[in-house]
Formats: sequence, structure tokens, C-alpha cells
Amino acid sequence: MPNDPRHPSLGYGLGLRVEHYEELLAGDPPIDWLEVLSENYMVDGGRPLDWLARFRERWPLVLHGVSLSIGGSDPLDRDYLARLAALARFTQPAWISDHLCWTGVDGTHLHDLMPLPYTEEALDHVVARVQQVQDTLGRRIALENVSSYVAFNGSQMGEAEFLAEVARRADCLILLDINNIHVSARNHGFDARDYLAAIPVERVQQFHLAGHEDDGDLIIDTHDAPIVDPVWSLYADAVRRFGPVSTLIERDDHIPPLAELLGELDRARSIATPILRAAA
Amino acid sequence: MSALAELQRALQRHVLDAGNADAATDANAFVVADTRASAQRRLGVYAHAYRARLREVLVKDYPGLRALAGEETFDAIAHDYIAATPSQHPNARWYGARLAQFLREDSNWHARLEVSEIAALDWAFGLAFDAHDAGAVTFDELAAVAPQDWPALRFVLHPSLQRLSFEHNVAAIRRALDHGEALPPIERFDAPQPWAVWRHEFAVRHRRLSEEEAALLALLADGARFGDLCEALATRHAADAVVLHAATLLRTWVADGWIEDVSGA
Repeated sequence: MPNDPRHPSLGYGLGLRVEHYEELLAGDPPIDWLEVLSENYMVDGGRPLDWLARFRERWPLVLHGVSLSIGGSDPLDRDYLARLAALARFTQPAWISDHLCWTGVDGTHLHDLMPLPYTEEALDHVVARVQQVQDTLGRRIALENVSSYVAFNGSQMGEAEFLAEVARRADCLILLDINNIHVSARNHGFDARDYLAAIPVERVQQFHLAGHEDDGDLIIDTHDAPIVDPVWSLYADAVRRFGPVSTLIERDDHIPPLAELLGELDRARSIATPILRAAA
Repeated sequence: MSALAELQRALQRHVLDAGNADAATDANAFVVADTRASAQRRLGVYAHAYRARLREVLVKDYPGLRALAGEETFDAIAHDYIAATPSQHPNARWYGARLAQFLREDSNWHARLEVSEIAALDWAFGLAFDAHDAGAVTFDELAAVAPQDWPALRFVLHPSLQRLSFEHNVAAIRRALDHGEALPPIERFDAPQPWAVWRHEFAVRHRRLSEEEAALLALLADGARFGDLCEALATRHAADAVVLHAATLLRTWVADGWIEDVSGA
């Protein structure tokens, strides 16, 4: 595809979690790549960076952050960006991602992925900041859609349109979290398939797959449970639309044995492979 | 103030001060409510998640405190600290940095010195775990220093080395926890005990210091020369024993990997 800014697909990966370190390195698990939580390795030294060096020798790595606050009203944190750049030099990631959100204001950090109002003002703000970050890092970043529980009265467009426009105008990539689309679609009453249709194919670098907690009135994105069938179904639709995109199982809490996550990774392969074969 | 900043301030105020009716009213005004859930319910998800997430950060960083205090007291401590301490660092790794100081100063907790002491120990373990990597001088390197250069020799301590002082047996409690043993009862010493925490290769270690060792390490940390150490020792020992004492201590510290470098030779 001409003008396709995406990196080649890395295949099927797992979020690197300390509970699996030994088992990953001891065996030869069928994993194509690993996603590393950037902040966990923004440390001065010691074992974390030693582990990371060992994983770097075995697998392609991708850096995934939670603290960039690309939509925040405070100025971009230059110290954080410098640490991220240093970690990227150490890790040599295939790409770097964070979230389309804000994480605090006036110097306070909520350590949460707070949703943005989808306004022209917020769009201009985010686009300018993505460009600053990309200039600093010397590479495109990928932005991930977050799960949300609030939508704002002032929004002038939908989340998918906002994300698509950020990607086009800032020339960045998109990390589509399939679970987060499902969660937000239920919580706000939009159609997850319409969301996929609004996202430009040539911008989608990566998929996340994860589980959640259904509270009845709202779905809470816990990333601490197995992936549910509606999310698998939406993943199949995403593969049909976006083609061979690097896919990652992301579990943040209640980390299960590695074998359980490998089982989910197998299921992702078994869903995507026939779709991609038919499309080839 | 931009509309974006105004919205973010209102939401953040609501998350930080979830019980405040004015904050709730201000935040509600921005949020779409529908038949699925009220604005209050929706915003409440963020307020709840904020506290739960920071509590988890403290659970991870303060295992000794949690074991010593018990679940209920630990939750009360976490509640008070979270209410008093909005995070000022983008990396949650640093959120708990002020917990020991908070426990020493807060009116609910300052009478329980043992909880602030074990919090300080837990935090020191964390700092040692991912402190800067650094080499350590060897016996051979020290042996190569010419005798006339020794008095002016300065020592750079390993970045992971921390000195602490405890009035309670919190180190024994943390050690028991780390070894999966039954925790000993809390004991108060007759006098404060100096301790050191450091990292050797990738393992975090701790041991008790003698009073003399602690005093001399404090001098080294302040940039004292080997000659200054010997002068300090001369106030405690016979003149002919001073160099032997200094050499013995230095040998221990080098074996423990506490001396990153020497200068002035």
C-alpha cells in the first residue's frame, strides 16, 4: 500500500509481566513479540533492566506507556520524555505507544486513563502535542483508544472520528484496543462496528485484546479476566478490515499462568489466520 | 483557562475529593447522563479506581508494613495517605516515597513509630532494588594505593547503600516475611539500632551496623578522607589499634560492595 506508515506486523505477542519472566526465558513459548510497560523500566538500574536486556535478545519489543498524558492541559513533561527516549535507546522497540487520554492536571497525576472531550479544541491540542512527542523521539508513536465511563456534553464528534483525525493530522499510528471499543460501545451506546469503520486502515499498527468486568449498567475495563466472546467476534471483524496487524494479549491484574495466555494467543491466531488466508 | 483545562480540573477535583458535593456538581455538569447510568455513577468509577490503584501501588511497595500492621490497619493507613497525598510524579513507582515521613508526622499514626520504621525499611528495599548500577572497588585496587596516599583517600559509596535507624525490630519482621516465616512480635530496643540496606549484584540485602561503623559511614558519606576516619577512631581506640580497626572496617565494606570508587590517591 502506498504511503502506508505502518511497521510490518510482528505477529502475536504478550504483555511482559514479571510473573512470567522465568518461564518465558526457560522455554521456547510460541510468542512472536513482547510489549513492555515503559514506566516499569524507567528506573536507574538493577534487575529490571537486566531482565529487559535478556528479553531484548530473544524477542522484538514494543514500549507501551501510561503516563504521557497526550491530552493533558499541563505542558508535556520533558523529563518523562527524556526518560522514555533513553529507554527506547536501551530497548530498541519496534514502536512506542501510549493512550489517547489525559492523566492529570496542575502537576497532579491520577494514574488513570481519563477520557477527553472530542472537541475541535482538544483535537488541535492533541495533534500539536503528538507532533512534539514525535519530534522528540524521532519516530511516530501509536495512540490507543481507552475504555471510558463518561462522555462529555461538549463533544463535537465521536471518539473514532477524533482518533482517526488525530492520526491523520499528526501523522501518528493507532493501537486499537478491541476490548476497549467493546467496553466503551456498551457504556455509551454506540456501535462497535461503526467505530471500526471510522478508523483509517493504514494507521492501525497494533491490536490489544483483554478482558473486563460486566457490572450490568456499565462494563468496567479491568484487564484482569479472560477475553469474552463478543470481543473475539469484534477482533475477527477488525482483522477483516485491517488485515495482518500485530496482535497482543494484555493482562494487567490477576495474572494467570503463562499457558492460559498462550491459549488465548492461540485462539487469536486461529481466528485471524483463516480470515487473512481468505483475503490473500 | 481553556475549556479543556476547565473540564480536566473539574474532573480531577471530583476524583481527588469524591465526598465533596460542590466538586461533584461541577463535574456532573460536563458529563452525559443517560438511561444506562447517571453522571454520578459514571464519575464514581474514576473516583473508586483512583483509590484502588494507589492502594495497589502501596501494597506492592510496602509488604513489610502490610504484614506488620495487618490488612485493616494497612487499609486505614493507605486511606489516610491517599487522602493527604495526591501523586506528584508521572510514574506510580514514586507515589509511596513520602509514606514513612507521613506516618511519623500524621496525628493518626505518629504514636506508632514501628509503622513508620518498617515503611522506611520497605522503601529502602525498593530504592536499593533499582538504584543505579555501579561497580565496586576490589581489595587488589585498594592494595595498589601507595601508603603515603592513604590519608587523603576519599570513598564513593555505592548508590544503593542506605543507612537507617530503628527503635523496633522491624528488620527482623521484614526478614521473617521474606523467608516465609512466622513474624516475631514487635519489640522496642533500649536504644536505636543503625542498619544498612544495599544491593549486591541483584539481591537486596540488609544488616545491622555497629555504632562505630554507622558513625564512620556517616563521615564517609559526608566526604571524609581516610585520615579523618582514623582521627575519629583515635577518639575510641588506643593509637596503635586505630589503623587495624580502620582496615578491618574497610575490608568489610569492600567485601559487601559498599565502596564504588576511591579518589585522591
